[in-house]
Amino acid sequence: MGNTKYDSCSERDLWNLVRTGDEGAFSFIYREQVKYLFTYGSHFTNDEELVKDCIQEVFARLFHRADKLGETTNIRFYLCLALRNEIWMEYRRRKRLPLSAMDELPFLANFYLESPEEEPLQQHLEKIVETINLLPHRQKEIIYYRYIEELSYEQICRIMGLKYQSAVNLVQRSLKKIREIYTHTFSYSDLPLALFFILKMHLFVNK
Amino acid sequence: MLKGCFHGDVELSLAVHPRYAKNKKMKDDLSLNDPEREEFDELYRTLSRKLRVEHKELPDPEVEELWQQLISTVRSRKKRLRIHLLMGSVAASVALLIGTLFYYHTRSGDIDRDDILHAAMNLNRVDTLEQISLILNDEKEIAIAENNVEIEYTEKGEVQVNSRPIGEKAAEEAETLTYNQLVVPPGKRTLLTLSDGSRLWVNAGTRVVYPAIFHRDRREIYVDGEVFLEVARAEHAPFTVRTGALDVMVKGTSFNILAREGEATRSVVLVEGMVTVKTAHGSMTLAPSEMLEVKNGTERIRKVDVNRYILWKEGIYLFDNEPLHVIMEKLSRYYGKRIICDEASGGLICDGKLDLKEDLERVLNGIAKTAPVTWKQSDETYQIAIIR
Repeated sequence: MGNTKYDSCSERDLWNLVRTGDEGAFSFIYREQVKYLFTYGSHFTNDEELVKDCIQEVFARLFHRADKLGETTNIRFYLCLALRNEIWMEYRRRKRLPLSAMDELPFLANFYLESPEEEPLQQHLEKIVETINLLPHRQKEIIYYRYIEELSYEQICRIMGLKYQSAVNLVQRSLKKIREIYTHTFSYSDLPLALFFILKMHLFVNK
Repeated sequence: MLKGCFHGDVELSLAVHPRYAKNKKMKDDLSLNDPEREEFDELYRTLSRKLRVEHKELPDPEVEELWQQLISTVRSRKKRLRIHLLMGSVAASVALLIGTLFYYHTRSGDIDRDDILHAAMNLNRVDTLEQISLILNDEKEIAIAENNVEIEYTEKGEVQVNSRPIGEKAAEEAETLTYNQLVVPPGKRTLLTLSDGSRLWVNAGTRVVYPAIFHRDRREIYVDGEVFLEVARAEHAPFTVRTGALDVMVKGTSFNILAREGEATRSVVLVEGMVTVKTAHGSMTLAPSEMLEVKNGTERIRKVDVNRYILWKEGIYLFDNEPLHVIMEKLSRYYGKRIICDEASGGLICDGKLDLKEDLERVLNGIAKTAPVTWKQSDETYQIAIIR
């Protein structure tokens, strides 16, 4: 935004300025993050107005409760956490769902491959992506954090409100589902390939 | 869990794990002597490099618009918000109304006219309540345990509930208008008489914001939900009902308005008199028995059987050619209970009349007798299923 004063700040310092009520820093963070937050929030609902409203609410609270904020070195993560919670609360309120119905928050976004590969690799990849897109919402969400956003396990637990073990279980369920669908669609000769891929994912997410 | 995130103990390092580290970890984990290993590595690497997710982007010009909207709201909301937070309320809906406000600013450019929307925005929307709730300007909240109550404002702005004065002054002696708010939760209804004698039948799940005493030369209220109005005649003080998406301007007339934030279909049904409805696309005038329906941005005026749209105030619901799931949605709101239809039963097309004065279970029994469905209750939910 061409504001060198804030550009050169570390995230921690910038955040601390917001905590002291610095409107310039608040504005800087807003402009820097709002597009990302909109994109992130839109994964949960097609209602763009709802996403915008929730973003505004998150920032309004940030503004009013600046003095009560804790420290952070990762502003974007902090805001995503707050936004997801806000969207969930609003979604639940509109659908009149009980607090316990977390599983019902949609994760609508579909995965795709950026550019085609050579056959037969392309065909395998497409099948895997197709399989991922058929997973339940929470499982798609966890794959999104892991593969698109590349969050740590700790962060995933935090943002999805899961205990470590639940997150592991969730991933294992996803992998099992992928394996089921995948092995159904591939011929026997392709099977080792599929299993190997899944094994690798497994090792990767468990670390 | 997530709720306390603003107390802020988020202290994590940056999100990004360098990709090469992942691959290295993978290699370490795979101490296999698989002849096809290279191929698999390639598959994995390619996937993690190419996996993308569909996404929407906020256009650049909107960033500035949203920012302006936010900053003007947070400045004007500063005091009030603290009270709401102390009350433990999420106040998410306040933000919901920000959009509405901005919309009117850009459209009319008439700041004075936005009083009622300001008020509606600043008042906390408390629709998780179980009781009818009257919120006076000084943040005093009166919860009313009964259903089908009558609330009346006298000309001086004093409030009576079921003809009993509540001993609260609804309005201060002041130059500026003071706004009151009535919140009717699902399962309840209220008859509200305003200080000018206009009467509003307020349906379940509705919020109304209005001044305790009207301005001398104009009357404005805000509605989020469904009301039937009989507007008292006053030549020199036009009456306007404002909602997030449309305004209805009247002189003396009766009509039903259904405009709930977050719902796609909004409608105005005129019973008698004349109203002008202003939407995002322009103004149009309705004649008696006409209905304006705004759905997904398209507007349509047609002749209707008005009874179908206003009998709810007598506790009767008429419908023809309506899928059962729509009927169940209305019942759900009317009774404040969660009702779920399975796919097959939800699609049944029904004609008929329901007497809503009875309790929900009797209404469901009535439906189960005439349509091939059964219902059962588990936890707090009623489930409707087709009989095969």
